[in-house]
Amino acid sequence: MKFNESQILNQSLIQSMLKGQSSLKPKQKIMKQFFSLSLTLTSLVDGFTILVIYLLVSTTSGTFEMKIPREMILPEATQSELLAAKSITVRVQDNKYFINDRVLNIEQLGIVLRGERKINERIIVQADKRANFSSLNPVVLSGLRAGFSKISFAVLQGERN
Amino acid sequence: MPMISILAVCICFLLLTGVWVHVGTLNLSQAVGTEVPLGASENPTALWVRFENDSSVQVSVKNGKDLNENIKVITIQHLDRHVNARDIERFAKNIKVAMPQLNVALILPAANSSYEDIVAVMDRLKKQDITNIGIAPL
Repeated sequence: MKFNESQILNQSLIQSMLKGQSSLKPKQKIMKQFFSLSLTLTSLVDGFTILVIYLLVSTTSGTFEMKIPREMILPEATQSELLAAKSITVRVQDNKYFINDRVLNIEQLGIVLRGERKINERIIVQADKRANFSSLNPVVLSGLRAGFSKISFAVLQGERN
Repeated sequence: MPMISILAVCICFLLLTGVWVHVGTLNLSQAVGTEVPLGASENPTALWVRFENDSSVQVSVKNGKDLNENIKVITIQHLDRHVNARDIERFAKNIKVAMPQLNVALILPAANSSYEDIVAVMDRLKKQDITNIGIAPL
């Protein structure tokens, strides 16, 4: 099917912004009411969604975040508490120790924790739920030697009964 | 304007349908050196949970003078190679009835005790209001 020039022009005029603009300000009373209603609804949806986003973001940003590797599964606990401020996270993965993604051996771990004792008051141990205590023991020992009396285990918050 | 609406609705949909993982902590109170917390007695009544290599546990009450000797020590066998946390909780609940002031526990894990089992025991003890939990290094 072939279009001639006038048909193409007519069609583009219908879909154009200019045409839309003119239809936003109709002269007929009924059309005027319809468009003003649809515009109010659009603004309402916008306002509502922005409100929802704001509430969602503000309620979740009250706590500290913890980076968990994809292959690590934390154990679940119902009596868990929120992540505390002034804490340092030690990640135990494949018998290696990480602080801020930096691999440390046991000696270095002790040195770093002694330094961190001045700034932080708690160690958070993060490990896979299948990990043996023998791999966590150096963190607990180094923490105690560094003077940390508050040690926490990272868990997934389960539902309280 | 309609584009903003669609985008905002999309963001809302993604935020609401996304899986939120809440990470928390189970806190331990470790004694450093020979320090004794202010106001605490030097040898408080405490529940000791000793893990064996086969995931069975021995639960005992230390310094529980008023307690009947028969219920001071109990061995709880493992359940499918995991610690039987439910029975430990039941024992702790019975002890709490006899000694409501008990709020100290010490966990003595074995080298091969799993992190999951240790956390499960801690969780069950905290559920019974035994909040002052320590862990003994190997």
